[in-house]
Parts: sequence; structure tokens; C-alpha cells
Amino acid sequence: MTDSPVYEPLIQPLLSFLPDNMIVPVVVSITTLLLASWIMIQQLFGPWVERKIMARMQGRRGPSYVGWKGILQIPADLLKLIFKEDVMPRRADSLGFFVSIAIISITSIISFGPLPWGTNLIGANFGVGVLYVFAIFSLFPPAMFIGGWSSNSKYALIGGFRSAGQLLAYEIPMFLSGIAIIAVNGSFSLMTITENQMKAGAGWNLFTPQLGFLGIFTGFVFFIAGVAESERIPFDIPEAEAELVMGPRTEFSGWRYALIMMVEYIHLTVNSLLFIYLFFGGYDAIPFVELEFERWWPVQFIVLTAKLYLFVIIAAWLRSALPRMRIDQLLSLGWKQLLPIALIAAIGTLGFISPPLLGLPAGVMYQWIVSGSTFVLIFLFMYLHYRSTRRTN
Amino acid sequence: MAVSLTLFFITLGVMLIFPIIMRFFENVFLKMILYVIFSGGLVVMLGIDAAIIAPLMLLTVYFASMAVADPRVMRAAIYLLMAMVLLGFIYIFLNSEILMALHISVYGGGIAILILFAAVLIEENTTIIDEQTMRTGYLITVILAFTMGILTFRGRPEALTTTTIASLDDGFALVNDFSVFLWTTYNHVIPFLAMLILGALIGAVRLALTDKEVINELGVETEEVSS
Repeated sequence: MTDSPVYEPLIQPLLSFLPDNMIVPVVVSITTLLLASWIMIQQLFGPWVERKIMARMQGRRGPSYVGWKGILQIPADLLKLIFKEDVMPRRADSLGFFVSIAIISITSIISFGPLPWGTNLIGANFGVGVLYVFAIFSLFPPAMFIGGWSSNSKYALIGGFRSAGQLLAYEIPMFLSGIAIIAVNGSFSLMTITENQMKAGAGWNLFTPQLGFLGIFTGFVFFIAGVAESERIPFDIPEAEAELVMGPRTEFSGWRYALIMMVEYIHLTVNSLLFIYLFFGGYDAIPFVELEFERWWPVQFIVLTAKLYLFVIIAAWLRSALPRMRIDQLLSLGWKQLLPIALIAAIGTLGFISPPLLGLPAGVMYQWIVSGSTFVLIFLFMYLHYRSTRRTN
Repeated sequence: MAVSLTLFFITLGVMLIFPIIMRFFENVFLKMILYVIFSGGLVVMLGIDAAIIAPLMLLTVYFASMAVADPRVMRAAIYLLMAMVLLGFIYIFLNSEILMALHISVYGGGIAILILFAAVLIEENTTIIDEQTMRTGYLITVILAFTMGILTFRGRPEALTTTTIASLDDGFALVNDFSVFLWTTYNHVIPFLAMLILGALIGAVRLALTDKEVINELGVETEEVSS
């Protein structure tokens, strides 16, 4: 706690008049609030960046009237939505209508807790870091389903079904692909995983030879599953505005709609951040080297924010470039392709780190045999799958 | 221990009465001041940990009992989900984050979505249990929740043992040693969880043995589709 950069300016003055049993809760609350505020500010400007980039790709200008180049468009929309009348459909289930929004918004905000923004700049360094975020994520499918059901609308109900099915299908490959990294680092803590990638000679997990280059596969699966978890194009089947109006969100308006849209972007942010921590070096500026300036927390803070915006730009790029998948293609990709690839890659990574785990003798040669066989197995699997689907079609 | 338990239950009692008292006050500012005084009083009386755990436990028991008592199946499933989620957050305050993560991801996420999928296939106003069974279930839930609440309170962090595998070289002499090693002082709670699962199993058997007509009433299509 005393290592935190915000300890001296913000927390130390408080300690003199706080009783002992209040120190930890107050410190955790202040740090989490500060970091959560920063992420919430991203929710106001991240969508603007995305809309501008999409507009540029599609030959439009995007938001341009409110503020400089339309930068205040999202805050203005938010204000408008907050002051709109709160409407609930007739015969809607009032409990479910409220509970779904409450679960979605509260859990998305508390998922910021174990995300570090610099060395020791973290809300709460839980021992279960990643597992905590995944546990929180697992509450979204039931909440979306309840939201869809309680709206008393067929579009919302079908959207709820689809949303729950999709989130379930992609949560498992996402977690499986993260497991290898967790096992290699021997820790669930995102700060420890990032610190390990910062060491001299250690590259980022996505392309480091220390994992036999197998991070490419696990990272690839994690990224695709992350985009699908955010329910964005090409995976926005639950929404599919041409078929289902707005999916499970159809009947939500006013502040409820504002919260749901905010949660959608928070999802994108948290998934991007998880990918950055696990595979893209976290707040490390340059891979393979350990420089003095990288240890300075403002640099780490800026580096992480820059990486986050890089992923927002990639998400916008995907959104404007790719068509929407069909529901069967989407579920097939999740269960039949990503899940086996994640499993093979996870086992391969563990085997590379310690060949005796797979019943092989220890040694560098065996490590590279495991890595090579994993590459071959994955490509073979992908080829066989491609051939079988081509025949079916 | 006895003093803190008494304090705890007095606070729970006050929390139950508090919403009823608040109905007599119309002024919003007065209400806000009363809420602040009440929350401050809770923190001073119980300490920050227990002041947060107490409302959480109360809400958990409320949602758990409503999950049994509400005759509308979908509502019951929602209450169950809420009870599971809140129970998960209680584990954080009992210094067991790993249990929280597993509990929420398995029961709050996986099992809840299965139950919701099943519940949504049932017609909206169908009740599959009669009044008397419901009352019995409600009573059992309250007793179980109350007992588990006390037992969980007994296993507060300061009472946790520091047993490690290294200190058990001689092997597990008794089943009790093993359960203490696995679940520390929470080993008292496990038999009750087993009872809950047994209850669920009996319920599943009961549903499986239900007459075909009743299943038809539940909205499940049993007729074969002619080709």
C-alpha cells in the first residue's frame, strides 16, 4: 500500500485522523475511484475516436458540430439520455427490468479493481486478479438474458437468448487461452504478469521465444473471443439491427440505455486491457529491454492509455471493415474452432515451459519439439476444419 | 464472541425495522439525514467489515427465501441469481477471494443461466408446487440460511487456522483433520451445502416422476412431430 504512487500526496494526509480498521477500505476506495474515473472518462471520448475513424474509413465526416470536431458529442448524448423520461413497457417484469441493468452496470464498474495502471498503481491487488475479472464477466449472460426476457418484447427475448449463447460460447475459449499465461507466470495477479514481461530479456507474451512463439495462438484466440464478448461487429448477432432492432436492449431508454451503451464500451475497454496485460506487455513501453524511464509511473500510465486507444482503433477498423456473421457461423467459430485451438495451444505452451508435463524428458530440444508439434497440430486442425466445412457448404 | 453476536443480531433486527420507520417520514432531506446517521451508527457499532457484511447477509437471506417462496418460476430464478451473487461478495469480506471467484463464475454465471434457460420455457404463471410444500420449503430455507449465517459468522477471518500441508506429514488421522485442512473452520458449513444439493436432487427426481399431463401443462412439447 505504501508503494503506491498516490500514497504520499493523497492517502498519507488522511491516515492521521482515520481509525486503524478504516485505513484499508478507505485507501482501496480512493485508488479504485481514481482509476475508475479515468476509465469512465475514456468512455466519453473512446466512442468519439471510434466514430471518427469509422467515418473516415467510410468517406464521411462523423460527429462534427458539438465542441471541437465534435469531441463533446458523446457527453452531450449522455446528458440528453439522462434527462429523458424513464419508460417501461406495459407488462414488463419490473424486477427483471431493474435487476438486469443493476447487475450489468455495477459489475462492469467493479471489474476495474484488479487492473493496474502502473507499478503499484492499482485499486486492489487481489490474489485472484484475472479470475476475479472472469468471474465478474460470467454474470453478464444471465443479466442480458433477464433484461431480454423482462422487456416483454419478442425482439428483446430472442436477442437475450442469442446474447447469452454467444457470451457463453466465447467465455470458455477466452479463459482457456489465458490459462497458459497464468500457469507460466504462476500468478493470477495482472501486475505480476505485467512485471514479468517487463524484465530484461523477457518479451511480451504474444511473440516471445520464451513461450516458444505459442503466445501467437493463445493471443489470437483471446483477442477474437474478446471482440466477440464485447458483442461488436462482426459478432453483434444479439443486436443485429436489421433483424432484432436492438436485441436485448430494444426496450431500454433514457438513463437505462445510457448505462447499457456505457457498459458496452466498458466491455471493450476491459477486454482490450486484459489482452494488453496478458499478451501485449501491459504498461511496458519497449519489449526485451528494461530501461529506467519505463519504471516511472506517469510513463507507464501514458503507455497503457496509448495501447488502449490502439485497440479502440483496431476495434473501429474491424467494425467498419467486416460484415456481420450468421448466428450458426458465430457459434461454430466459438465452440468448434476457437475452443480446440485454445486447448491445444494452452497444452502446448505448458509442455514447452516444462516438457515433463507431457511425459517428455526435460531439455531445450524437447521444448522446441513440443512447440513445433503444437504449430503443426493447430494448422492441421484448421485445414481439416476448413475442408469439412467446404464439403458441407 | 457472545457480545459481538448479540450486537450483530440486534443490528440485523434494527435493519429490518428501519425501512418501516422510514415510511413515517415524508421529507427527503430528513430521510437522507436519517440514512447517514443509521449507516454511521452501523459502522461505529460493528466496524466497517461487519457493517458491510450485515446488510449483504440480510439481503442474501431475503433473496434466498424469496427464491423458494415466489411462485412465479422466472422471478424465483432471478432471486436465486441475486442470492448467489451476493453470497459471492460475502466471501470477499471473509478473506476468501478464490471462493468468491469460483462461486460467482460457477453458480452466479453457469448454473444461473441454465436455470434461466429452463425457466423461460415454462409458461409464465405456472406453479408446480402447492401452498403447503411452498411453506415448508420457505421454512427450511429460513432455518438453513439462519444456521449457515451463524456458522459463517463463527468462521470469521481471525478464527481461520494456518494449517498447511507441511504440518500434516503424519497423514490425516481423522476425517475431521482432512475437512479442517480443506475448508478450515468452514467445514461446519459443508454438510449443510450437501443437504441443499440433496434437496435439489430429490426435487429433480420428483420432477422426473411427474405425470405427463403436468409436464404438458408446463409448456414442454412432448408430442412427436410428424414428418
